[in-house]
Amino acid sequence: MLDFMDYIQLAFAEGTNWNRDNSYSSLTATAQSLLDFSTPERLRVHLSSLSTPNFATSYTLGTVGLIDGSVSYLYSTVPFTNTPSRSALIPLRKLSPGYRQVAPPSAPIEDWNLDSILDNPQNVQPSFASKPTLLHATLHLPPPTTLNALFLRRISPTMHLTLAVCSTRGPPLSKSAPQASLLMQLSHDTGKYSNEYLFSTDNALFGWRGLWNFGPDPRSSTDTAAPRLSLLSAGAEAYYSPVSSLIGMSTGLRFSTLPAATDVPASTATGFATANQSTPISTFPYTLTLTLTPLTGSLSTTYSLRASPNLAFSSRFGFNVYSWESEMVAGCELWRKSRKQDDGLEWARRKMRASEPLSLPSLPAESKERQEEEEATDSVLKIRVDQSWNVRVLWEGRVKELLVSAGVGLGPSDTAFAWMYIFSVRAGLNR
Amino acid sequence: MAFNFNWSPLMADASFYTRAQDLLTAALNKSPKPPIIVDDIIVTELNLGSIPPDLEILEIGDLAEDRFRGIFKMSYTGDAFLTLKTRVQANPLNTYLLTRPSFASPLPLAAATPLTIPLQITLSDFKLSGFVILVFSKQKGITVVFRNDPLESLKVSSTFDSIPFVRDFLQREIEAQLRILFMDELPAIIHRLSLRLWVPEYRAGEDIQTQPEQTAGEGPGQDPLASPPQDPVDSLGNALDESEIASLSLDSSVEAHSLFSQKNLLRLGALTDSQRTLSLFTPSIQEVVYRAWTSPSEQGDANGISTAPLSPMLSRTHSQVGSMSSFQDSASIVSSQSRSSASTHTFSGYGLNLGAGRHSKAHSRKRKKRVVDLRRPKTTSDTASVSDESAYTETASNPSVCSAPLPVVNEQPDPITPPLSPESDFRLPAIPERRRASLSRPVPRRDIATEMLRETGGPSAEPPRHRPQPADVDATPRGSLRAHITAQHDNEKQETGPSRQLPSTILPFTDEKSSSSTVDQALVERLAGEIARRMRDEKLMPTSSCGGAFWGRPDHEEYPPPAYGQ
Repeated sequence: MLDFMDYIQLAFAEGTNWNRDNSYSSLTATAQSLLDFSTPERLRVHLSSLSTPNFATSYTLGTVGLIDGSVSYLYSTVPFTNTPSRSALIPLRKLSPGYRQVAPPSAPIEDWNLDSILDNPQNVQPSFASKPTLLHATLHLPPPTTLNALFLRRISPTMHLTLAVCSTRGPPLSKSAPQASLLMQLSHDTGKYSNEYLFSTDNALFGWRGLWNFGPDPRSSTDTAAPRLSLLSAGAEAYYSPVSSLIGMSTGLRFSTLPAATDVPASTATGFATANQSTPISTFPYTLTLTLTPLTGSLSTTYSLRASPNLAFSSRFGFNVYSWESEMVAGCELWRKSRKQDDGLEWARRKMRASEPLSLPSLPAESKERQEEEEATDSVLKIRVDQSWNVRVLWEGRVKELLVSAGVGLGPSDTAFAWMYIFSVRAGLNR
Repeated sequence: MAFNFNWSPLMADASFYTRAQDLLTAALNKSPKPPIIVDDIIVTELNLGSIPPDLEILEIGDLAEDRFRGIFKMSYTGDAFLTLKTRVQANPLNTYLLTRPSFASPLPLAAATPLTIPLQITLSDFKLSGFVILVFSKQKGITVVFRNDPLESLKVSSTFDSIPFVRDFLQREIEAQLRILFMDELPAIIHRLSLRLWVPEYRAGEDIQTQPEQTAGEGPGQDPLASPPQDPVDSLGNALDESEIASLSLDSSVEAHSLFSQKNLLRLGALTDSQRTLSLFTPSIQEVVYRAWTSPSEQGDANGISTAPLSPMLSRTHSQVGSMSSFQDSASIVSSQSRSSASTHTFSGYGLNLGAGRHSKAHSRKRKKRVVDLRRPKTTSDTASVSDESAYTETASNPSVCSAPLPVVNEQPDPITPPLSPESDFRLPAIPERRRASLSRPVPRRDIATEMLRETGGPSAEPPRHRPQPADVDATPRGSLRAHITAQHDNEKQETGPSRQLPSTILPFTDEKSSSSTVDQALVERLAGEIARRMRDEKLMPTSSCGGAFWGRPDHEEYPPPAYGQ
């Protein structure tokens, strides 16, 4: 489950029209959220609030064993007026990432700056007036005190700057690790391709990540063109540190259906659509990825699909050509609604809708309804199992107005543990 | 003063290596490992090599029977090697990320995919040089501390030798780790090992295991003295550290180990008392302080102040072996060597080289050389080796008082003593003992006892060889098997009948043995000839140097003969 502060940062990215999915680092986001989710390890209480539209605070307190806690503050020049912050209202789908539907690449909006300023005149402040900025700091309190600070700034419609500082007073985890490090990340996203440049003061590590979307360039294409049904993306990343001769690189490929592939079904009665209909890509969204790490000889493929709006599966197979180690992981997530009683006839309704090609006016309403359905879910269950029978189960949902996350990991290599993780977001001020 | 440091007996113990491997494995995994090592480090092979380190004594701060403190300069360029097995992370980015907090890390998508590679490392060509502080205390075990970093260089060969970068990295890492090992872990390991050997609680555990057999073996006529001191002999030859200690520390301390256990001190005291009051023939030894009362004089001995140290030794001998023939030895020594060769002989045999050295020192007021030879002398020629072995065995076993069959000779000169045949049972056990001795170094006494029981029935050709030794005769505390009174009786007899008579008695005895057993006649004859020759030699020797005479065989000539006499 995402932290409240992460949730706010997400809202910041949305508010500034930054497409986080169009990056190499989120190439396997779907499989990671379905297979690599972490189960909470200790009892931990989060108390967060968006006290003003621009200012958020969060406190956490962890018990069991030793008591630790953290204090976080966040300030943003972009007001989060439309962001639900009450724990009862925050859509669980946003807090608990699952199958991530890749959005079709879109050209950056050139005049977002004007818009935001015009919409929020009170936000015009001397230093941050022109460019949306977010400041965030977290202080982890128990004696090896750690300070995490984050600075986000939208430099231009296509540029995004991130500065992250981590400073700890405790002994570093290894001798070569410094006590403080700064990571600078400059992202450039044009829709057609995106580049990220990184530099870390720790060992002077340079990094680059790039993603290329095949297909027509969204900047030049017009809106009249038929919506794309699928997206093929290729990317690579490379890291190099001249200080410690650190080298790392990987390449990746992703094929994913776009929302149009499953939403379109013959509703647009054009020749193009019929052509699509004759060769439908799929009736459900799915994502395929392939990543290669040439230096260490490992390759990994994932296949994720969303069988229904409430059910998603994912599997991953990894293999190393040098050590012949292999990995096989499978996982799924199941969303549950409590408010609406599902009568089990949803599939019939969908079929009827699909068989009525001329229900054009009803389409927006339908999609809106589906959107509501998705957001109305109040619990999710995630299960993953790997080849050595390590099983992890995570449940996240609402109990009264509390957001609760609980998980258990069992397996021959994992020591069995089961801890509750209570995530509570209580917004003091919603407006 | 000199110390003889025997390196190879350590190798002889098979269990030593496994134990050392376990301890090393534990030590290597205890300290936090560099993140590149993703699995436990397992010691698969360990060999200390055959080349011993050079030790130079710089300073001896404290020297006593039960404690020692000294500083050595050690240099080692030997052929020891060590093989380790573990798994390492081959992706440097992975280890980089593992040691960083995730907040400000680049979070690569797949570039940090782990790749673990099994790694085998062989460490060889150690070059060590440093100052070692050795502190030994019977209560607290051994503490060995390196005053400086002893590691000069070593050769690391691994599966990655073809990749220079990795090789250099491994070399660096391992050297650093080894320095930690030498400075911190090794002292702890040795200390633990020594505690296991000397601290009563540890010993008690061992005793519980071994004692039942032993008592069973002893039988009804058990002498309290016959029951072996619980700690000593066992410890004498068992492990590296021990023997090291034995060789490094004073002979007196070794003797203390071998002769006394704390439990037996009281019994010893009672015995000496009884001897004073009840003995049939107990010379009152003038100006002798019994061991149980003598700690101050012992210290005096350690410092080499006077002849006083002699007395505790004597009394100890007396009390332990005392009820038997060696009894007179002490007396004889005290009375300045008016004794028969046999008795003196016994004495030297009793102390082995140690004892001899010590006494020689005592007499000459100067300690020439002290050798603890834990190893069996290598025997090449048949007959010569036989005698050597037997002598050796005695020395090894004598301190432990009971097991040796030797007293036979004592009784033999005495017409009154019971016939030989009944005794043969008792003598036979000597065989296993001898065999054992020939195998390696002095055997723990309990084992001997048990062996005795088992093998009593099986006669073999060896007893005859063994018998002939006059030294055996006297030195053997075998009397323990018999009643004390008998032993004392024997003593008396012996007084009257000196060991000169031995040859005559021995030879028939040998014959008898051979007849009873299926021995090659030729062998027996050869043995007999050898024995006779020996006896002749012995006779030729002047009485005063008889102890040295017997021990003056080629093998032992390197050691200075006891200086007493003349």
